[in-house]
Amino acid sequence: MSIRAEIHVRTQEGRLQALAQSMSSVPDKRQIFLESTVVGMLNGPWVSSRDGRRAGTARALLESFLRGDQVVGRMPPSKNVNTVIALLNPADDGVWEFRIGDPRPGIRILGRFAEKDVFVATNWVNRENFRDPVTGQDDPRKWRDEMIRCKTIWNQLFPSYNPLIGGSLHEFISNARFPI
Amino acid sequence: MNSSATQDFLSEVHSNNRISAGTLAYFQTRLATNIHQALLKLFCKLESDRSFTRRELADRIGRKPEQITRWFSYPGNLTLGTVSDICVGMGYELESVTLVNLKSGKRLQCPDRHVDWSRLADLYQREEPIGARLPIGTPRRSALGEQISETNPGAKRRSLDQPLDDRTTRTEFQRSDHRTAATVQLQTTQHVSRTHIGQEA
Repeated sequence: MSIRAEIHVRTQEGRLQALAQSMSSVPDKRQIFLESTVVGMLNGPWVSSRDGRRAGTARALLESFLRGDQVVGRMPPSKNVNTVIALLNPADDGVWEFRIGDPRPGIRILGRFAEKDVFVATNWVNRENFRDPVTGQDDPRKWRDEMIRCKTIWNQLFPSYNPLIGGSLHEFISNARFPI
Repeated sequence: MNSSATQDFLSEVHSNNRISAGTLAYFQTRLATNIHQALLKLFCKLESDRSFTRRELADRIGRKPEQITRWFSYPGNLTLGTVSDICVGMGYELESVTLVNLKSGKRLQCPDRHVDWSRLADLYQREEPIGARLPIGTPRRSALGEQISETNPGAKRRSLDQPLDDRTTRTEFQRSDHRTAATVQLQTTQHVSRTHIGQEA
């Protein structure tokens, strides 16, 4: 069974859901599959209007990815903080994040690529949760924990498949570029 | 989003009720991504055509190169002012936008003042009495700046089939008011003009 067939089965089971454009002006050129908790965060209901705004912003950016818009991404060792998508360190883990910066401090949607242009979003993290409540600084342990969570969810969804691993951005995403 | 969620999402916009912050944020970001894509596409074109660099753009608009990177990397970093600066720095202007009715899907181009070549040609003909005051022997010129042969009025129309750039460089108007109105349009609505040419042909 291919990973595509696995994704299809997970979708039928309700553990994954394919993201569709709200207003399909152009056909999808890429695919995003959302784990059920990410679906909940994206569709609401939300505790506050702030969470709603985050979700609205996230949806628009994810749909831009679906449409095949040019994506500015980064890979290690780059630490450019302004890209839409980034491969996290260590690169061998194949964990990526969608970076939604508005409203600040924004959110991160972690996931892995099943194939080129096929992204599986596993966990949704509010950016403030990465911070140490005492110092207010980013806590690397929390980043590590979220990456582990991403890999765990992946392994539960696809026990016999590794994520896509590659050495360049174009191996993961078509029509992508590094920051100008 | 599944189909029912999509339906809820759009029905909120269609109703007369207050629109949620999430939906407003969605459309804000959608607009930002559309404009971001246009800028990115233009920059990439200039970059490949004539090795245009972010430093060159930064120098032209008095910003730091790092700021250019920030603007081009993430759609949310743009404001209307910066969009204008970036466009002008690359030698362009964002002239018009397309409004889409979310209910009917109808599109409205605003402002709708693209060059209507056939109308301009007609305008020239209507101004025949003014042109007639030219000294005898002065070649008459069409709205596109080309000489019109008395025996071959179709010459004006043929010029529309010429490549856009060629035509652009020859756009001159006898009357200054025409020059103002049309030159600006030519420099900024090349795509619209090109579409028009296709229709004429």
